[in-house]
Amino acid sequence: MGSTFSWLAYDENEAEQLRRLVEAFGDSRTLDPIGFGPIRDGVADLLFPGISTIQTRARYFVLVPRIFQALEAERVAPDAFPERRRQAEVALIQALLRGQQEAGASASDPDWFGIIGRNVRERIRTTPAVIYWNGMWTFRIRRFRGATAEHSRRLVSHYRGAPGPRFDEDGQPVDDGSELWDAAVPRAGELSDSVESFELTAEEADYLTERMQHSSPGTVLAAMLLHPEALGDAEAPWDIPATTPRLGELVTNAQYFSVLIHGLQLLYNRLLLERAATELDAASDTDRIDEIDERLDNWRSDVAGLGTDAAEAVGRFDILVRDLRDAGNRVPPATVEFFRAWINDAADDPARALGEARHAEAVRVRERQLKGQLAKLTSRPALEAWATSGELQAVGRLNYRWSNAHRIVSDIVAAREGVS
Amino acid sequence: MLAPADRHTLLELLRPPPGAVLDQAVGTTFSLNLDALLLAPAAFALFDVGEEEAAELEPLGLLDALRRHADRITLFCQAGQIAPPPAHRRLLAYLEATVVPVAAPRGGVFHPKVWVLRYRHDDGVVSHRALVLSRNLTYDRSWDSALRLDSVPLTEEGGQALPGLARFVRALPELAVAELTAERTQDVRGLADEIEGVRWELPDGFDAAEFVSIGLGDSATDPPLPSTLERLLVLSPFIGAGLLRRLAAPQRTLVALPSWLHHVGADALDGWDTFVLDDAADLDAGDDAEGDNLADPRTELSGLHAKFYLAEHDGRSTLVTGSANATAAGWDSNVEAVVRLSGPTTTVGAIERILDPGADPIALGRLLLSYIVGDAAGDDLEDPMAGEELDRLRREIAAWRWVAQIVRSADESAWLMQLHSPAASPLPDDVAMRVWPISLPPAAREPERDAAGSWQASFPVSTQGITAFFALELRQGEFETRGVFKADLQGVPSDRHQRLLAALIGDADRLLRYLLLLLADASGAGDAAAAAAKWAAFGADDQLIVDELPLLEAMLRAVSSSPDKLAHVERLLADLRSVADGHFVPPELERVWRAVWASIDDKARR
Repeated sequence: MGSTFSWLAYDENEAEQLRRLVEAFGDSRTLDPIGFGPIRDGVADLLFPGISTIQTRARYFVLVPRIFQALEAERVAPDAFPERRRQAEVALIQALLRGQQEAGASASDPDWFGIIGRNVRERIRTTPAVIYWNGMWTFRIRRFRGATAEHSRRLVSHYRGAPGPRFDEDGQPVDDGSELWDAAVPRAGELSDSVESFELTAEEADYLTERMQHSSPGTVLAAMLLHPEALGDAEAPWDIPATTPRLGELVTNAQYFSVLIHGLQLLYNRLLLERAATELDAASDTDRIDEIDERLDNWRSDVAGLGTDAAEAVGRFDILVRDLRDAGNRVPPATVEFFRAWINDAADDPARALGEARHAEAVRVRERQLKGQLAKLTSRPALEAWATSGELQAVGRLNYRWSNAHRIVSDIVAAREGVS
Repeated sequence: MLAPADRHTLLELLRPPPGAVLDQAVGTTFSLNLDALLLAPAAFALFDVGEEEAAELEPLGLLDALRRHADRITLFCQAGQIAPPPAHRRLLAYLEATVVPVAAPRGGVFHPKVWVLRYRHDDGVVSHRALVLSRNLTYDRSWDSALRLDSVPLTEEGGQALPGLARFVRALPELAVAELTAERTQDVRGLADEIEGVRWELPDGFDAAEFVSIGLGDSATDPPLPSTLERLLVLSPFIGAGLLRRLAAPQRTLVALPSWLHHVGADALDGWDTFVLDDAADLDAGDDAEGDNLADPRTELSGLHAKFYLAEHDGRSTLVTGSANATAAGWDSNVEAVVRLSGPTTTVGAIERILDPGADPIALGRLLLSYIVGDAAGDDLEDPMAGEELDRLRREIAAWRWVAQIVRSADESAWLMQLHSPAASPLPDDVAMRVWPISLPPAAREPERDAAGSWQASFPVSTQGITAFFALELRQGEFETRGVFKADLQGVPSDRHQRLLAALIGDADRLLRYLLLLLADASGAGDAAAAAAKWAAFGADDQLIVDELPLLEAMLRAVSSSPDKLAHVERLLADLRSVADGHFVPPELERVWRAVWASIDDKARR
């Protein structure tokens, strides 16, 4: 470069990367201080199979197989495949960025946020193929089981031609052994390496609708695709009309858990704010305390809105846990006991449950068991690390990956409506 | 010159030349963002192997860079101009000695934005770079200028000495509000001595240069421009009527902030063509690739902050650029740093051409909008002087010799930080003050004042909460201001850094990654996470199982290739063993390590 006189540039990507590094040492954010994670994730898998929190847009479900198919058609050697695939995914990032730039998208645009790897670009590690990998299997867009490495192993027989069918544990044929991708994936033209967008074609939208409904019948995901008219006003999974009585029960049980546990999330934050003021000799954060108290008021009316009692609420919770365990989820007994005790009292009288010292104590003990030295309610360094930012922790109501599913289904529905 | 597309980030400007590593850095800034301060050590870590492309930095890489390089970076900044961080960063403990608050001897502010860097090349050769900027060490995204000067290799001819730069660097330690350690003073002076003999390459188009510092014992001065000018272009966000009058030329163009144009008034602007920067200017250059990044919202610039003076006279152009605004403070009472460059107008670029809005490729003129104070309504613009008094007071209080004495405390918090200001610390009656360590939320109470007039407050903290940085809040009527000052820490627990290290690494998984990072060959630094996965796996009960063989292999490789790394590992493990928080070191690792460490001779152990 040599000596120069120029403008001093600013790069938000650079700044953000540094901030992330620094925050990696913060330990100040807790996504799940009271340990509802196993229940939340298990329920989300039942309601929205194949959807994950790091997925962004629906079109990746067809863009990713297209990358694989294009390279397979080139007969790229198995050991060279992973690197070539990565290069193609980087090219996809560039093409999507160019597409958004041409469309005049700003950095706050959802289309911009939807681009996986928009900041790291060629240094991306967790590529769309990795993020959509399990979902592609759930919807059987991908026709073989296993991790990405399994793909390279299968290439040999794929290039050689069908070696005969493969069978699952029950002796049912899974595939003919050479088929890697669903034959019906729309191959709309060439992979574009110049400009790409998140807009699905009508054919792609119909294809994804068929795959999701066929592979995951009786789920909220399938119901959303069946009742697109309900999407506009819906704010949670329980706002979508259930397609079967069984789904209706499951969704109601999930809703009960979400509403009742919300009080526990708020109680945790209330305890945290109180402890910061007393223990750290700090000025009371009255703004945040007021915010929590207002949310607690709303919570009490939400519970009243359920019109339930302790017996029904606990009964529903037990059925939810049974369904989760039936589906193969591990829900530790200590987790069940902790939530059942709270649900029992909160459904009966939410105001009294909040005031009872034994629930506050139970929250403290639980966080301590889950987080050890990082438990803010019992460890002084953890409290300090949190208190300077003082952000509320996990105060949103559980909605089981609703927003991810909503984004993806909306993408699909929008493209279908475009032709009808 | 200064085409809108011609830009470099600070990280690019700090980047070592190919095959070199950053060895020492001295920087100056007026205001400081403590997060942005981590940029310099990150530059060490990102380019540690002198790669052209920055490696993807992982958190442990940054931690390592801080541990190893913090004592080679010194940053002088105006006392009281450090912004309180949004959240406490425990990493800042490593940078406490790096930050040196200073005050200007003539009562103004310490304002220069200069970096002097020393690079060490593979072949042992040393080279230098100087940056003279208009941006502070903050995450500002205004239009700022950056002058970069590289040293000319000793074996080559040409270049120009800048004795003023060496004098400037040498003077810095004396401005500190608290005494520097002898070592650090020696380091800074050593660098000053070194650059005395350096010849600097000038940017294209210029044939002469001089480094000019203002306010370091010198008397008041004017921008170092020739006495008779034909044409003058001044870019300065802040302006003063008196100084503008001193800048005489038949044809004068001024670009400033609208609020300041109104502040000095139409009379003072008589004889000037006045402009403001138009943020909404369409910089889309059409299809050419150069215009690409200008449209990217992540890299957009906004607002004027550059300061430069460009004069034409007898076929020559003189450019003065750096930190000094066209205000009386800039040239009378502040400490400032600028470089004067000159060359033939034909090679530097004529003002006429720079201001041409239709120039192709796009020139500065495309960004400018004519702004005439007489016509424009300025009522809705903020008074630029509002709150100025309180800011001055904050800088004064931040420059007091605050002391924080650390003593054991009986309760769980472990320590009590007893903060006090010097005796007879004056504070106006109508000003309310609060102070608290940046590791804690704002204090509930104001500090107390003892009979001798010293302000006192105590704060219980854990070991990780110990910090030399304190937030200061002042309130006076409708005005409120916050800044950070640095206290002199006394009675620091001897194992503070070990305990912090144990807390930052936190668990066995991260420790293994860290070791891998330390042991990796320069060539194969690669994906530490993937390699760490080879060493260890999580068993059924989330129990970490360490595979001893690959770990042993990596260590044995290091025995032959770079034994110095082993000493580094031993220091790290010794640090962790010395504190109870370091209990996560897996016993398998200790076993392997003891065998390896015992196998090498004493010479390598240092």
